[in-house]
Amino acid sequence: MAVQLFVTCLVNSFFPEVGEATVEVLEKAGQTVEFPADQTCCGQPAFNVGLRGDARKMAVHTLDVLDATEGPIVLPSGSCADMIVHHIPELMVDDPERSAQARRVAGRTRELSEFLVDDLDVKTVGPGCGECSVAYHPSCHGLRNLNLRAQAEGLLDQAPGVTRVDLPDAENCCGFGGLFSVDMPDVSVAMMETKLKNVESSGADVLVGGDVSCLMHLGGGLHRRKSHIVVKHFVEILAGHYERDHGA
Amino acid sequence: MDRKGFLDRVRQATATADLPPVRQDPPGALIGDLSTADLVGRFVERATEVNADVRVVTADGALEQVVGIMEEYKADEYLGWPDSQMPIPGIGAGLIARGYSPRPSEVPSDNRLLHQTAYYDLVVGITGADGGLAESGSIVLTHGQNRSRMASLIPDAHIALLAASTIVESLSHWAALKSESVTRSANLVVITGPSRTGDIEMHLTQGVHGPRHVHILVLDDR
Amino acid sequence: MAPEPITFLGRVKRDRASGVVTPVAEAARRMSSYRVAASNDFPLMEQMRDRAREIRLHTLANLDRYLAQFASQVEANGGHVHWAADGDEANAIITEIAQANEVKSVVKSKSMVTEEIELNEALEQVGISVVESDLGEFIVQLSNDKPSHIIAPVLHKTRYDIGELFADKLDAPYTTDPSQLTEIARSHLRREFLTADMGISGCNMGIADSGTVVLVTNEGNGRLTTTAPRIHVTVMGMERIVPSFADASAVLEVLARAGTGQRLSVYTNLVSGPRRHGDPDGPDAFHVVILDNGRSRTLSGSEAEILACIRCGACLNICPVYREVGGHAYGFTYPGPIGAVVTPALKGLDEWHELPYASTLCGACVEACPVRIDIPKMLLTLRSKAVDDGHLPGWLTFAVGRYASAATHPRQFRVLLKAGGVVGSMMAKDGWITKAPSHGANWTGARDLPQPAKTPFHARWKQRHGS
Repeated sequence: MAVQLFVTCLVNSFFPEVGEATVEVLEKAGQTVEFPADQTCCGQPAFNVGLRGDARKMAVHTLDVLDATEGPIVLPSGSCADMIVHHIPELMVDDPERSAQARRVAGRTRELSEFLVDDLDVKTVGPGCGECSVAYHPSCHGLRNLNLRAQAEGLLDQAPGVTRVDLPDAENCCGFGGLFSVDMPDVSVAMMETKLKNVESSGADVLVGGDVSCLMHLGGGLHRRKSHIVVKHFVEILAGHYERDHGA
Repeated sequence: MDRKGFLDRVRQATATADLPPVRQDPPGALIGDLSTADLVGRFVERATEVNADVRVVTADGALEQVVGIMEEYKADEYLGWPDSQMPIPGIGAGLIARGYSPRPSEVPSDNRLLHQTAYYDLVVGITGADGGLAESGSIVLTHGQNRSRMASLIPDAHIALLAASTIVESLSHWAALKSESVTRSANLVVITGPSRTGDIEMHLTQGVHGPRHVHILVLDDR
Repeated sequence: MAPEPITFLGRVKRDRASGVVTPVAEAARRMSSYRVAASNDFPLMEQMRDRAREIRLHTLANLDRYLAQFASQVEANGGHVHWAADGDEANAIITEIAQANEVKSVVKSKSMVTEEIELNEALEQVGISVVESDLGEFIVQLSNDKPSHIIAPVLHKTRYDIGELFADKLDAPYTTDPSQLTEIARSHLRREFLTADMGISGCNMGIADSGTVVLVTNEGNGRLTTTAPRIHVTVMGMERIVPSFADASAVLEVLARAGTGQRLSVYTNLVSGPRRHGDPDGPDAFHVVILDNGRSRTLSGSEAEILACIRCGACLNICPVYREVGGHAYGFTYPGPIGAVVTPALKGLDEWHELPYASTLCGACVEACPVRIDIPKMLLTLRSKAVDDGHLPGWLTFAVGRYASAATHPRQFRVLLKAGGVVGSMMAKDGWITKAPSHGANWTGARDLPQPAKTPFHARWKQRHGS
């Protein structure tokens, strides 16, 4: 049965190469990938600022698009997967039909590393990188709400050429927080600075994560500092894109 | 506000409270397995970890230990519980025989301040303990007739006499086994090491308002 | 003194500029590590957390019954019970007790609830002297400051600050040695304790079936406050109840471990009424003031679970926002994640609607909370209420509304992404936007923004797969 790829709105608009790497890695793992063309945004930005009406509209659209398909729904994002798995069903509790639909969709939804490791039992994924030193930042929603505690790290450790270095206070939030990043920019940036200090002290060349939202925030901070460290989604490392784009 | 009005308001609030589902009755006491072959050993280890000085003594050797501690602090008097309240017999009588004098512990209601201010520079307090908690290295003291609260609170050093046979696994075990200890007296205190603070830059300092030193003499009565 | 900034962000700016937040992160990180170590060391920690949670939630669901039982037992023990609908009523009750008993001086042990109702100010207004006895609170009082942490009130001060303060206010020789500073406070406060007419304490828990007040301290000030003065008054938030001693013990097993990493605090003090016949010492009179002050309103709605809080401070210590902004930014007695829920819950969103937004919803607080309170869930509910009350900034409401409308029309959405790519390429240099207009500057003030892709993913997919 084909895998339904939900790329998320940020990957679609800012990081399409993460979507492409996801397709490559899934296909390499023997999966047929389909892309429901009418997908947009799961509604999380609206939900998190309290605009539940807007959130519900987007969630309903997402449910309709995904419920018309079959097979596992895979996202290269812990945060959006958490929205679909946990918060969309909460938003629909007052409507029995939508509620049932939300539970159906939630039951099929998997974050990418979770799907690869827990469902497909993938042990190694190449080509990895020629030689790179990687610090892994586990984004909060995947870590705490989906209990993603070792999947991506395990894949990275098995990928050829990847050396994973210890990131101090890795589980401390990076300060992105969705619209928090522009609603409370001073606080968001202060948290980012703390995270980046730890990233810099880790000695890594690449900061890797599983959510492009956090990576956009941290990567933007690193670029502003003129740091040599770049950010990558773990699937870009697994697919060899880091090697392709940055390799010696 | 009156009691009825207050409680009515609370009752109405509970009716609409959005709380995660809970059991209708309080769940029974959970006594997990903290058992160890050596309760006294664990007590000594844990109390030592919180900087209490713990010595396992025999009934005959206890007095010498107390005297030794008195000499250490150059104390010639103490505030304490009488022998009738102690798990190790004869300590008070022995101390008096050696020339140490107990301070009166009764704080009269009509002359409280004068009596209490005299405690200002008290150096040693000697009390018994109703029991010990192995997991945390704590001692349990109930106060009441002849059992001064100040004795374990005001002096620079607190000497507590504890019978090994009264040590239980943990506070939860104590509460389950000895629930009456809290109603029997107006004041029960669980003491875990000497008074301490970390308020200044989290620097651990001993002896803020309570005793700077706690000495626990465990009578091996098993 | 400059007036208190009225917004959270204003206070953040002030406190980051003045440097008071500098010591906070490291101290909070250390306390968190103590919690983790103490939890790992206790084989029953997870079971005990579940049990403490059940006990707290069960009590809240039946709070009227347990409060009634508690009050009757306090009276049976010879104590007096007073019911206060709000802070003003509580302050009036306590002032009246003091005046009726010719009280001139009061010594207090650490209590958040009396901070909440500003009791000290009320007593001082009628000429009663009040001395805080917890070392941290004493320092706060001497420096006219506010606590910045619920269990470590002067987390934001350095030993140098305190050395200068003691030299200035207590005429003590200047020192920066914490032990010597503590010694100075000890001898100063000892006389206050032994001569005060009345002791006022807070209350960690009230045990319903025995009418007992549980007070936890490390310094011994809680015991002195409840032993030396002739009158002891406890101020208790109405939610502090547990059914029995056994239930209290389960909460105590997790409280100190979560707060300071101790197995138990140094003194767990259980007070069941005034001194009894034959007791050599202890207070002659015992009063409990039970306070509502917004709690029944909180209990009646979607933030009820926050009342299960046992005030350990673990959520502050782990919170990445608290670590950056310190406690004063939260503007009220209760800082950090707990404050972001409890302050608007107790005092309403009109004045406090910013606080639920002072979080990234990272969830670290739930993990740390010994009674597993779902703080992010309540922050989200409060946010939706803030939206209903019209508190979300207009530009955000507008922007999200437009985005939502595009996101429910796939064709429009694809046009939007394409337009984003075009506009982005006009603004970007070498793939990065460094200065975005309007509210975009909130992002690019300190971060570059990657250029939106010229060809979004959906278009690339279509190019390759044709549909």
